[in-house]
Amino acid sequence: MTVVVVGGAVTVLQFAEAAGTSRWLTAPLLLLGAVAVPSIGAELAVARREEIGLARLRGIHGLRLWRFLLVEPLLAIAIGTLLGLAVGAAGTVLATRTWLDDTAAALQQPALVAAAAIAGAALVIIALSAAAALREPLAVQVSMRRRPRRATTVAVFLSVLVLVGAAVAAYRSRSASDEPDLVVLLGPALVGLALGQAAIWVIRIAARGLTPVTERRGMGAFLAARRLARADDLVTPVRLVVAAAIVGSLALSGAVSVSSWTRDQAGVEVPGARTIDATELGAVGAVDLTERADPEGDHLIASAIVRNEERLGERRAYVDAARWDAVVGDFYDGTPARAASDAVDRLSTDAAPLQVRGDRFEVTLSGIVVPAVRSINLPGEEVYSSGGGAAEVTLTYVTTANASGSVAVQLVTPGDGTPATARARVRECAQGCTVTGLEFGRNDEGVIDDSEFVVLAERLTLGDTDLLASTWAPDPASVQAVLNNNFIRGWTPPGSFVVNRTDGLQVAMLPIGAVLDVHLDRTGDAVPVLVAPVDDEAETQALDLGGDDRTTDVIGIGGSLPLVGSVGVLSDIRTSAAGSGPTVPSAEVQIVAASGTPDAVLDEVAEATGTSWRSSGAVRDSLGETYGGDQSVAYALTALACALVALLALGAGVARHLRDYRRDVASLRVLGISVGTARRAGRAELVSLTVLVLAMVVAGGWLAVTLLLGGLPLLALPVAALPLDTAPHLLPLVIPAVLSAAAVVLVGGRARAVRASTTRPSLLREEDQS
Amino acid sequence: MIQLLGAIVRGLRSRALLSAGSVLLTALAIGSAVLGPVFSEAVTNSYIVTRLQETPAGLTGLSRVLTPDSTSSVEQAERDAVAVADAVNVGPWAPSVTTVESPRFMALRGAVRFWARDGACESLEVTGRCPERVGEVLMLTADVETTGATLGEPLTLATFEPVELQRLGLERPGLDQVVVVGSYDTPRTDEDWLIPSRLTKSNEQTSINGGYQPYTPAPFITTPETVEALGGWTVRVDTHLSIPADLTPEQLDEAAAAAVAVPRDTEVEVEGGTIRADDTNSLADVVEEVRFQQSTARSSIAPAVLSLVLVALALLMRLLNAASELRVPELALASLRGVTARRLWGLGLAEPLGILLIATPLGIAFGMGLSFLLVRSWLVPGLPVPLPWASWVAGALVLLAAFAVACVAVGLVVRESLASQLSGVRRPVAARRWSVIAQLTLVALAVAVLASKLSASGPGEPDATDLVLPVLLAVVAGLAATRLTAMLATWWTARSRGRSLSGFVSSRAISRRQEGTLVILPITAAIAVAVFGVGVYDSAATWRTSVAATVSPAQTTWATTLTLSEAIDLTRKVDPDGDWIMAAGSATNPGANFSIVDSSRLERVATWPATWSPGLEVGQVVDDIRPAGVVPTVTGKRLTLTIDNQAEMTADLAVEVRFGSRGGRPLKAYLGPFPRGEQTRSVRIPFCKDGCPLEGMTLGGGAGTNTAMSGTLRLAGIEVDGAPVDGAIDGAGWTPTPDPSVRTSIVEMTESDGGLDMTVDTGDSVGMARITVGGITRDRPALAGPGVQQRAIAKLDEGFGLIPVAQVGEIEGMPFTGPSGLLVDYSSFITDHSVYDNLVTVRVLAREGTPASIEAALSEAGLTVGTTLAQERHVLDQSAYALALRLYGVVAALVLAMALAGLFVSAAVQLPARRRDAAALRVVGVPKGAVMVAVVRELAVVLGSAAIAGILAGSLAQWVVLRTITLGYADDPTTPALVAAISPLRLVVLALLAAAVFGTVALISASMTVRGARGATLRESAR
Repeated sequence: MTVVVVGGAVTVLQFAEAAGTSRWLTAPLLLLGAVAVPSIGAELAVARREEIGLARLRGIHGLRLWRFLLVEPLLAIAIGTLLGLAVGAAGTVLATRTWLDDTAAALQQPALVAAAAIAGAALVIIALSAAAALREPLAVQVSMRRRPRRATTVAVFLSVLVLVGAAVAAYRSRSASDEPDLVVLLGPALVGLALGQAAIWVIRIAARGLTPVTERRGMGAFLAARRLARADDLVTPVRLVVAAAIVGSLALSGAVSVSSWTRDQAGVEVPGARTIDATELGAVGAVDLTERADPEGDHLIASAIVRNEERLGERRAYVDAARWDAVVGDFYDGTPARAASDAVDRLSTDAAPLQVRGDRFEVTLSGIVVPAVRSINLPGEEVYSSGGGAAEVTLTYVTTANASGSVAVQLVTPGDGTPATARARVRECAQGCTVTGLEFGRNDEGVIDDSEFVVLAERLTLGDTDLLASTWAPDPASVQAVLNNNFIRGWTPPGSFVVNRTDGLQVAMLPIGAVLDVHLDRTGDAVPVLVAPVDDEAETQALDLGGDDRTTDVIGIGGSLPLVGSVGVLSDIRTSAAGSGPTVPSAEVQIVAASGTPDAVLDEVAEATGTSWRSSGAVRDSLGETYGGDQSVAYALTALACALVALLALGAGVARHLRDYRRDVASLRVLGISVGTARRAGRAELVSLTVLVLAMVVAGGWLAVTLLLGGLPLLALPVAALPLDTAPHLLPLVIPAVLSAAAVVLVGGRARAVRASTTRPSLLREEDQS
Repeated sequence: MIQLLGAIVRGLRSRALLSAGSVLLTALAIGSAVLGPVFSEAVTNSYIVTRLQETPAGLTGLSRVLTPDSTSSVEQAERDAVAVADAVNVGPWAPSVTTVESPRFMALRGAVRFWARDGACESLEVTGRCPERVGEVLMLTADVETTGATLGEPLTLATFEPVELQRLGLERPGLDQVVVVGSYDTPRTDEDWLIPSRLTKSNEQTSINGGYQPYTPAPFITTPETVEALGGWTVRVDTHLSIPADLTPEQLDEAAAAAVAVPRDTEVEVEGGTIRADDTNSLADVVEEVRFQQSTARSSIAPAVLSLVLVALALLMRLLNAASELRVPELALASLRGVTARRLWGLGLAEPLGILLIATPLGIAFGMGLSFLLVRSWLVPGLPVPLPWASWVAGALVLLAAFAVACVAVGLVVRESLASQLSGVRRPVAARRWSVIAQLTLVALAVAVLASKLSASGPGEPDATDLVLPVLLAVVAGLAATRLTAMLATWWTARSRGRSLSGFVSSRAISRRQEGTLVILPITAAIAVAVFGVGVYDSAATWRTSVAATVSPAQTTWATTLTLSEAIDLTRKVDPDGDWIMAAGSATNPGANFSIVDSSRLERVATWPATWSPGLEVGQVVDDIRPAGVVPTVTGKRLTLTIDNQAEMTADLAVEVRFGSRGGRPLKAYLGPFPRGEQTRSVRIPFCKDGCPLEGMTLGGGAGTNTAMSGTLRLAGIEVDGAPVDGAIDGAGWTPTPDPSVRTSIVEMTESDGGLDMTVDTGDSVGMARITVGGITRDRPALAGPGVQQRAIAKLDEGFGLIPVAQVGEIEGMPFTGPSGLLVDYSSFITDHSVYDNLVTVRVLAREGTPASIEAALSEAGLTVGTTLAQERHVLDQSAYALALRLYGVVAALVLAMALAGLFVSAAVQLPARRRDAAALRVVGVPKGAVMVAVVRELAVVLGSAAIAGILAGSLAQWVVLRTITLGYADDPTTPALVAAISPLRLVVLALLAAAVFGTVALISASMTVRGARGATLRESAR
């Protein structure tokens, strides 16, 4: 027993240490140990009652008696602790190697201290039970038979304490929102023990009630009921079995809910079989890459997530909605995000970023209203002249490497309306880039000039693309900046700044050095979004890839969206890229591949991004690691150790009482009751115990999961993640129940397996002789 | 029936004391149950009223603007506006007041508005007369000065208008000139005008990014006809929230709903025009806060009431038990006469039921009376005393519980065997199993809850465990004390055979006579609850003082725009002895704010709650942060330095002397040259006429520059106007300037014979000997609050006007910054180091009783009273939670009163039995003194153990509960933490008090026992 408790505690402690989880995860095991050890201690003391009695008869008293009593358990505990430490060290290495990345040191100080404490506590407990045995009257000590006795006050108090503790733990774990306290962490074991106690009461009361009834139903049933009501070889360990099974149910339920959470959350974050990080490319670059590598749009999809966990109002994600149905398809079937997934294809619009390729920016401007040249006589006979149609046209763009860039040409538009042409090289756009806007400004070198200056851009090309084919609109912000400018007073803004004409783009220049930003006309293209609201009434705002506000068209509201989870806005990557600046640095751009993507395609993407593919499973593992999924492993280890403790207790009870039972059967045979009847009685006893354990573990597990699981620190849930499902499920409840029932059947079957040869009535005689 | 009635009356009369005690306790229990809900309701209602009264009317009132149809007249529009407002305003709203407003006109180089309102002149302080005719106006006094208007004279409105104003597109007014018939002042209160600040002017403003605000004079108050004549008018309808003392949260909800009925951003079509809200109402926020306060108040009152009721029930149980035990012979006789079990029960229950019946109206009256008294004396005047249904329910539950108690008491007697009923002497019996289990359950519950609370990580929302823990601990302590006392007595009885007779008698009495020990439980519980109640009340009060003292760390806190050094100078000048005022300041720095104090005066002037520095006196705090030296003050016109230069230098030695800074300008003086040998040089320091601090010097090349130097330098003397400066060297704590960026040449520096000896060596390089006064070290000593982040301390350096600090200790709170600050001395903060004055918010603190002359001097210097400790305390004390906690004080008093009453009654009840025992002892020849000593000893042990257990349990409960609950808001990082300290002094006082009271009871009881114990007593009872 010491080996198991120490070994389990050491393993869980070290594992918790290595995984950075709470050390108190061992608490249930320690509690179960604290219940099991005294019962074994008491049994030990009882078993040695005769020895004690004999010793006392021989006149051994005081210190000598105590020494005589304690040397044996002391040795056992010392050896057990050492062995337990060894087992624990091995367990730690094994467990950390299996579930964590690196192997933890085999033994550390806290574990040693804990082991010493356990050993000390065990010794104290055994000493106490020995003292209890010592205080018994001599007559009882030397008597052959034990009779059921009334529970002592301490025993009553302890069982009451367990019950009350379970109630407090249940209440606190449901009501307290903060960190769980010790009682909550002990909760599983407390509830388990309480239910185990309840199971014993059920057996005892039922058996007591049934004894008179079964009297008339034949010897077998009567014997079974009477044994259940009075003997404690099988019934008492049931408490620990039930407790361990309930701890197991909790651990299993926790593990199941954690793994289903990580699965669902991984599904939310990666809508496919594998993902690759493409943040370097920017969202548009990723879209381009998918277009290139998978032109049919069957396997790859680009997406970008801006997590913004501090400002949930701006949490958003972008997907390539046009490809969603083909690539993601029914991936979300059966998950809460299904409705949203079905709506994703409606996010797609005609709006698309203006993508161009070419390395020459060419501008032809003609003046419509051109201000006269202004000359200023500077001191020293110098004449400074400005104005007169000097203009500068700048093209801003985002490159394939997600960097913003611009190219400017300067030209002078003659006053008579003759076109002037200028061109500049744009090497960055040779491989393609996304045009975000144009800027028109006077090239007047800082002289204050608010005279009217209107030009007509007759030709604006980048490579072979005619930029004038798109519709352009002035940026109100750049106009407002001028209107707010204190140095420009008395300037009347023209009726319109930009006119999209068939023969070109008419632009009215802003005064002084102010630059008129002209961007692709987006009026009327509200960005369709799917929204998972922060709280019910919060307004949502669509943001483009660069983080600027866009007009919003909410097409659906859902509780759970792909990529963003329970809070955020989902919109189409292409729509959001139109006219947008470079993808914000906090965006995590990924390319997701559906299952069945050809290796060639995968390799091409991997080569282009310079990173490697991660499978959905890897994402799941890293999620579990990040948010403390190891807790459930630690719980499982605890549960395993608890189960061993219970099994040992059961086995010990059976082994000790086997001789008594055989003798009982022998006595029965003397009275003429056949071995067969005794066997039937044993079987009936076993069957009722097994059924009870099954029912109790399922019901108790359900109760414990409902009451406690929500309050246990299973996962540190990230903001806006899916909620952890802590409701009880059938399977995790049934498995421990079946296992514990099987243990009862196996061990109990061993206890009740009586052969005719081992239960001869002569046994009684032999014993009397001895 | 009549027979039964007679039996009841006779029974009650014969046990008058017991009956009176039982009636009293029942009444107390019922009264407490009634009081709790009443008080919690009243507290919240009172809080609503005070909270709303404190809130500016602008935040609670409504202001809407009606744009009338073109056809309506002013009167019609005003009527319409009032009608609309009245229709929308459901709830406690005052009558609406209308103001006719013109649009803004371009006039007087600004935007001018004309307002007309009935009775405007009555509600304003007007100089001159009221406008009566069209074109007559009242102007704000300040505007009269600005515009150069003269009262009684016409004022031309149309003047030159700046371009910016023209671009606002305002119209010119229809009048060319107005007659200014009077002037008014901005109203000081919001009693008549919802937002008084609307009646002020604002000056022309142009912001850097182009925003333009024209000069806007305060509205011209005029006649409605004038406004009508100007055209384009609207009607503003203002509605104050009326705050009667009987305002309830429900009414407030209605009002909050009404407040948002008219939207702010859209015009709503109504009869007579369109209406739109134009106000700053935030009633919804107020309502939300009230709800929060309500819930905290409720959850904090519940445990107090619960424990009161439980203690009352426990005592009641004891008394009813005693009463039914006295009736044992009666019942035995009845059963001898063949009365059936049911009738026996009826007979047994009749008397307790009679007691309950009498007590019920008394209890209700008591509860309501006490509620009335408390509400009247503590809460806002005129607050009606509410009577919520929860009171009735609680009262009924208590009554039911009392009935159950009575049943149990009677059942215990009725179910006793006839033989034991008839036997004259009661023998101790083993406790029944169910009662053992019940007790064990209580103990287990206490253990589990205690474990849970002790291992909980930190303060959280109070839950049921917080509520039951004090009561649980009290009861368990009572049980434990009872058992322990009985066990000890048994053990002692066994041991003390053959020793002192009185010891044996008393211990045997305790171990055998259960009635004696039974009183331990209720008394322990009462004392525990009282200790807990007083402790919680006291801790909360201490905490509120600590919070208030954080904002106002002295009786009065003066606000000032002076810099820290100016404030220090001012305090030194006004109060040279440092008895009354001190300067202090705070500097904000994320993660580690600074609280800067004049430590030499801190102890005398500032309020320093003991919870700020547990285990440290203020003096020790001061010692911790005080720098090693005192900055000398130089007062005079000419500074003379004597320097013995024994160093090899490339150039002659020059000295830069630094005197801090004034108005951001550093004050420095330069002396030199000091060639080799001892030299005396002097320089004029006109700026130090009124004194300035001598903060540092640099000995080096010209103007404080680097030079090569090696050898020794001795600063032999510092004189001002020919006289040595006091403490300029001795005690000034000169050190090489602790600035890592200065390449110091000082190898060693010592102070000897009133001079400073420096060994300098720059080697091949150059350097200077820069020294600083005041014992300043690079890392200034500072005491840090628990909220300070170590990371922030590590990042502190002088670059941003802050100072690096060495944390010399930790304290819980400090002025201004609370737990989030570093407490440093002012000289650490400003001495010889560039200070960004705008970083520091400076205050001057004045302690209670500051002479008027000093206060006058502060006022003259332009200081205003910022806040006072009393004011801050008052605001905190009026919070719902604080009011609710006062109930704990009441509960403590009531519980103790109940315990005492119970004690007296039970002592009186036991008297006959004791007399019999004493008489028996006397008859066998035990001396009177021995009997007396035995009784005193017995009672002392019983009551003493009750008192000790009660005090321990109450303290434990207080400590545990205070660790985990909050006693008010603690959102602000500057709010000091609640210290769950248990005041040993209070416990000692309580223990002494208990000893005195219980000792008296024991003595009286003993003397009465012995006096009445004659042999005849035995004969009488035998008959």
